[in-house]
Amino acid sequence: MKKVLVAAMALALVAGGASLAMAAPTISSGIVGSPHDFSADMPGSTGADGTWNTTGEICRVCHSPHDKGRSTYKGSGVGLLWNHDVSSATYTLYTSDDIPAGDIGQPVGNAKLCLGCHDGTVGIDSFDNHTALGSAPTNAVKIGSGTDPFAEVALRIGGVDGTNGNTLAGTHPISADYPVLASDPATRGFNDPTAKTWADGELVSDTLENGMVQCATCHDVHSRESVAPATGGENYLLRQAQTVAQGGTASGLCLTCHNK
Amino acid sequence: MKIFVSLIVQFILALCVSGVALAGPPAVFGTGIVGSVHDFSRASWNPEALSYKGEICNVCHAPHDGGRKTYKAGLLWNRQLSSSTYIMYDKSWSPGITHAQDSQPTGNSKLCLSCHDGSLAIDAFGSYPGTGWRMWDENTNKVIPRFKDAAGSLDMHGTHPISVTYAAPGGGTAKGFKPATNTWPGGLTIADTLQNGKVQCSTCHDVHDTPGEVVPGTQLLRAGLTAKQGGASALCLTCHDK
Ligand code: HEC
Ligand code: HEC
Ligand code: HEC
Ligand code: HEC
Ligand code: HEC
Ligand code: HEC
Ligand code: HEC
Ligand code: HEC
Repeated sequence: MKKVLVAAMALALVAGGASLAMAAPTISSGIVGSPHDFSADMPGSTGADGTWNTTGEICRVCHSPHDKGRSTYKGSGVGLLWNHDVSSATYTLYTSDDIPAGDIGQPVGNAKLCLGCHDGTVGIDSFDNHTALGSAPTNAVKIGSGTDPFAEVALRIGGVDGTNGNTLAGTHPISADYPVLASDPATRGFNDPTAKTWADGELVSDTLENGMVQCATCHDVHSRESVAPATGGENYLLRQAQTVAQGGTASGLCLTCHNK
Repeated sequence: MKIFVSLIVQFILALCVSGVALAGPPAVFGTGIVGSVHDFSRASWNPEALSYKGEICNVCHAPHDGGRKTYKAGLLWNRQLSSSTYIMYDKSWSPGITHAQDSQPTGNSKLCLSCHDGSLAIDAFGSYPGTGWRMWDENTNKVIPRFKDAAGSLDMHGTHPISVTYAAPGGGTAKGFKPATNTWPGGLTIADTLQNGKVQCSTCHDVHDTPGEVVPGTQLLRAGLTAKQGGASALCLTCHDK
């Protein structure tokens, strides 16, 4: 009895919180000036010109309108005019007794694109045809081992952990199927992704890639649909606020999917 | 007297123009087709000695069809179109593509591809068969697209989607896109540069290098790509709301 009451109260709270957050969604303003805008003079290059993004464009670091005879556009297998090298690392995966074997595999799809910078094995500056142009060295500025502002180890997701090699064991499951509620017992504790929305109103199901949770399900790399940064703090490009300071409710992101 | 002065001015102007063409300096973009990459009036394969050759427009357009069928491509087109099959950047390659799209390149894109896909001779136009001089011989970097599959189809997976509708399915502005009334720096709206509502090569590039419509210093682009050219990735951000 007590348990049911508590659950009901929690639900009401969550629902109330969610609708509050929806009433005043504060959405980030876009990629310009965001952490993924590398158009400003970027430190960290050992090249003579002191920058590695020589043309100073935004999109080109990741996308290019023509492949120019380079094959990076195939590397990711997901298209998107990808213009950046991807990682060839094999990762130690997240494991858990509760998750059926085979539900989580090596990262695929657009998670590979994020890991192409964030696992720290490939340089942020490994894009376009810099080497051919002889302008700046490729593969010199790496996340977690480079120069400020990229040296921060926390930015390295799927990086080398001691003797474990590249590990995602400490990262929320990615390239993991979102349980299909109809066939999966709802007791597994998930909300219906076709009924739940992020702060900007987008359906959770629209941010799954082929039904899978990816990095881009929680984060908006273009900083267009993510919540506004907390005053003096970060928003980590999240699609739903995690804290009251970010304009939402405590753990609002997690509770969008997990019915806890 | 007045007339005399104006004649002198014209003479000087003419000198300047021919000087530019003679010296053959690197083309300055955004100043018109004369002297631009698509001005083939001085190309060795387009000698003035032959009738209709040594012109600019004739390489692509002819005022009369001359009994040839190429005009059927529209715009008095004076060249054969490529019969290549293309592997499109479409929703089978990227599920994110949601706008209506033609299954093969259409419209103006076909015109560009008649030279740029590298399959046909650039110097074949009008009634001239050409020498087999293709874009691959002219400049490999200007071949779009550059990859082929085993069957010989040209792979456009690495080229921005073309022959694709700008508006969302059912009309209106799709999420993630600016309204088609948004303007390029030259003053045209996005809608003005779409063909039947579709993004084609000519939506991003102006083949004629029309003054005021092309940002100088770019590859015939309607908006710049760098801060100096008017804003970092301004071209992409004219359409994409990112
Ligand atoms: C740091 C890398 C990065 C930069 C810089 C970047 N993108 Fe992306 N982009 C991605 C990734 C990763 C995805 C796939 C994940 C996703 O859809 O969120 C993507 C997806 C896209 C998509 C398809 C999905 C969608 O959201 O519509 C478009 C269109 C796009 N980007 C356009 C742009 C444009 C235009 C710019 C420049 C203004 C840009 N991107 C800059 C990484 C980047
Ligand atoms: C081109 C390399 C590159 C790619 C690709 C890339 N990132 Fe990043 N990302 C960075 C760098 C560098 C930073 C740190 C920027 C800084 O601190 O100034 C960063 C920062 C972040 C942050 C922290 C933002 C903050 O507020 O501190 C998040 C979250 C993030 N990236 C997620 C992603 C996701 C998700 C993807 C794929 C959808 C992705 N990134 C793809 C290079 C990249
Ligand atoms: C289930 C949601 C979720 C997924 C999936 C996810 N993240 Fe995050 N990520 C977060 C949250 C929440 C934060 C905020 C910081 C924290 O709580 O550690 C964050 C923080 C980050 C940061 C900033 C770290 C820092 O402390 O500055 C980066 C970089 C990042 N994520 C990249 C990624 C990449 C790359 C992937 C895919 C491999 C990914 N994320 C997948 C939820 C997620
Ligand atoms: C986009 C939806 C989504 C969001 C947001 C999300 N998760 Fe998850 N979470 C999942 C899915 C899907 C799985 C994998 C379920 C499976 O395969 O059984 C999972 C798995 C987990 C697991 C592993 C469970 C186990 O049995 O081992 C934990 C722990 C977890 N999530 C915590 C969190 C936390 C904490 C947050 C907030 C930072 C969060 N999740 C945000 C969808 C989400
Ligand atoms: C390299 C080939 C090429 C050359 C040379 C060329 N054109 Fe075009 N022209 C095109 C293509 C392709 C289109 C359709 C795409 C577009 O409208 O931008 C076009 C469209 C046109 C149009 C109709 C659309 C519009 O922009 O008004 C006119 C008129 C035109 N050209 C006139 C000319 C004239 C006059 C010349 C010579 C000074 C010339 N063209 C030289 C390729 C060429
Ligand atoms: C008659 C053949 C022909 C046609 C038709 C044609 N082009 Fe070109 N184009 C060329 C040649 C030749 C070059 C220059 C190659 C070189 O650098 O030597 C060129 C160069 C270019 C360049 C590169 C400019 C630079 O600064 O490097 C662009 C962009 C371009 N064309 C776009 C187009 C577009 C878009 C169309 C259709 C609207 C088109 N072209 C139609 C032959 C053609
Ligand atoms: C979405 C805009 C867009 C569309 C559509 C587009 N291009 Fe481009 N194109 C660009 C940009 C931007 C560049 C500048 C170089 C780069 O960024 O790769 C470029 C460069 C070029 C170049 C010069 C390449 C080089 O390396 O010198 C040629 C040739 C060209 N485009 C032809 C075409 C043709 C032909 C089509 C149609 C099949 C087309 N473009 C469609 C944006 C576009
Ligand atoms: C004239 C408008 C226009 C311009 C300029 C433009 N795009 Fe696009 N872009 C589109 C349209 C329309 C689509 C197809 C959208 C769809 O079908 O959902 C598209 C699709 C894309 C996609 C594929 C998205 C996917 O989900 O697969 C990427 C990536 C992209 N654009 C990046 C860029 C970049 C980078 C630039 C600048 C070099 C650029 N675009 C310039 C209109 C434009």
